[in-house]
Amino acid sequence: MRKGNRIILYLPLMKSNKLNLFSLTMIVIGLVIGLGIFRTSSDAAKAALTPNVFFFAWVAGGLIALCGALTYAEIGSRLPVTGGYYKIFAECYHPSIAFAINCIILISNAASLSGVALIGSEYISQIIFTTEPSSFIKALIAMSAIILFYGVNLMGLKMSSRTQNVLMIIKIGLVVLLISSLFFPSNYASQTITAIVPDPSWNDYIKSFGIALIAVSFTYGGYQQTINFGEEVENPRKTIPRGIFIGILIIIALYLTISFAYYKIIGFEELKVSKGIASIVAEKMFGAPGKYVISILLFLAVLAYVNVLLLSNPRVMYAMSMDGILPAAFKKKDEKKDVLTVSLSVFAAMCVIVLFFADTFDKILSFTIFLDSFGMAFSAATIFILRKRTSILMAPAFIP
Amino acid sequence: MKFFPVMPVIFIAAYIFVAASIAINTPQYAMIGIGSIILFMLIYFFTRGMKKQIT
Repeated sequence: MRKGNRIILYLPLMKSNKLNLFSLTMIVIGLVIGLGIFRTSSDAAKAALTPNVFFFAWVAGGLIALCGALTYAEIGSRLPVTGGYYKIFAECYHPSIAFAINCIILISNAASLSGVALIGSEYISQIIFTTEPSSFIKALIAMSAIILFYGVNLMGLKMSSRTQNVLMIIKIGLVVLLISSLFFPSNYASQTITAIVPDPSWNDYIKSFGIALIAVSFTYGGYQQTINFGEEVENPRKTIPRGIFIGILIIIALYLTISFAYYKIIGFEELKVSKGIASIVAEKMFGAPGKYVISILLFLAVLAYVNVLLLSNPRVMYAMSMDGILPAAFKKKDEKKDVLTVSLSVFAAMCVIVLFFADTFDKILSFTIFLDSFGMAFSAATIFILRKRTSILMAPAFIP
Repeated sequence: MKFFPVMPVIFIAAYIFVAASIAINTPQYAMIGIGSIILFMLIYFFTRGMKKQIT
């Protein structure tokens, strides 16, 4: 709550359902590792003139993500409230900006969740059906996944965060499995580099680096939403910064090594034109059955993403309702289980509706990439305002 | 935070660069993006205005 020029926090005392450091770290990793790293790593390779530019973009993207993580770690520690990503805009700029940006993010997250659920249903369809099912059947499978995890989330924060922990361990295991392909040099591809631009100038290199960096920056994004869990974290002023910091370090390590594995196993030129790069690596490691194993694991990876978005987004609706921007029903909470029943139900319904209009929402998703970057820059800039307003409240805490 | 304000400045500059690149390469994305922000801001002020009138 804002009073004059200072922010005063009202934190509930209930502790039983709170997220610990491990659960929060799993949420951070879950928000960042969607499906991009298993599919679209080739976009960065396509943009890069040479393998060095490709790796330089991944390293630079990692360093930028680290700067961002440290910034949001401090923001989360200074304003540990539910729906924090909405609150920072509302408190530091204006509620109208907070409402506009977060409504667009809610719609784009619903579209992203549905898009990923549809990709997941494609993976599992390859296992269940011998011929490719219709789009309607795929949408029904995706809908079942959303409804299943809606049910899990209705059972409480503890249940949904435990489910998230299990799914994330599987997902991280999948990344590590793909990285382990580096231990089989017999599968290494021969590297033949074809020059796209003959005799490239420094300008060409910088341009190529810039485009590769843009592709990489979207794969690294998502951790900023962790601040939505503010009040629901054990000792938030210490745990939020630690969770974001540890999470992003794990992500950087995984992304850099998996990119190196893709480069070694698939080959730089092949990587530029390949789709389903994770399946290619698995097939090289385990032969034809590898493709099936990876499809099941990727489906589970999809479920982790569905669950984490169902966890995070209703909290933004709750914060909007607390400020009187959304109807009071959105702040309805099952205190015992720590579930935002109405917000969760509305967000899940949005995702199901989007499923059946996937093509239209795919277009919306591409428009929101500009707003995402714009929102990241503006939300990070709130650190300067929060530092001034919360200077009196802040005793030394873990701010890396 | 160590190295303040270098860390947030690097991050903000990087995402301004990304947003500017998108705006230059695909101006329609930026136009629709800014248009939707304005639209939602208008919705906000409109609904606030309605609430005030009711109360």
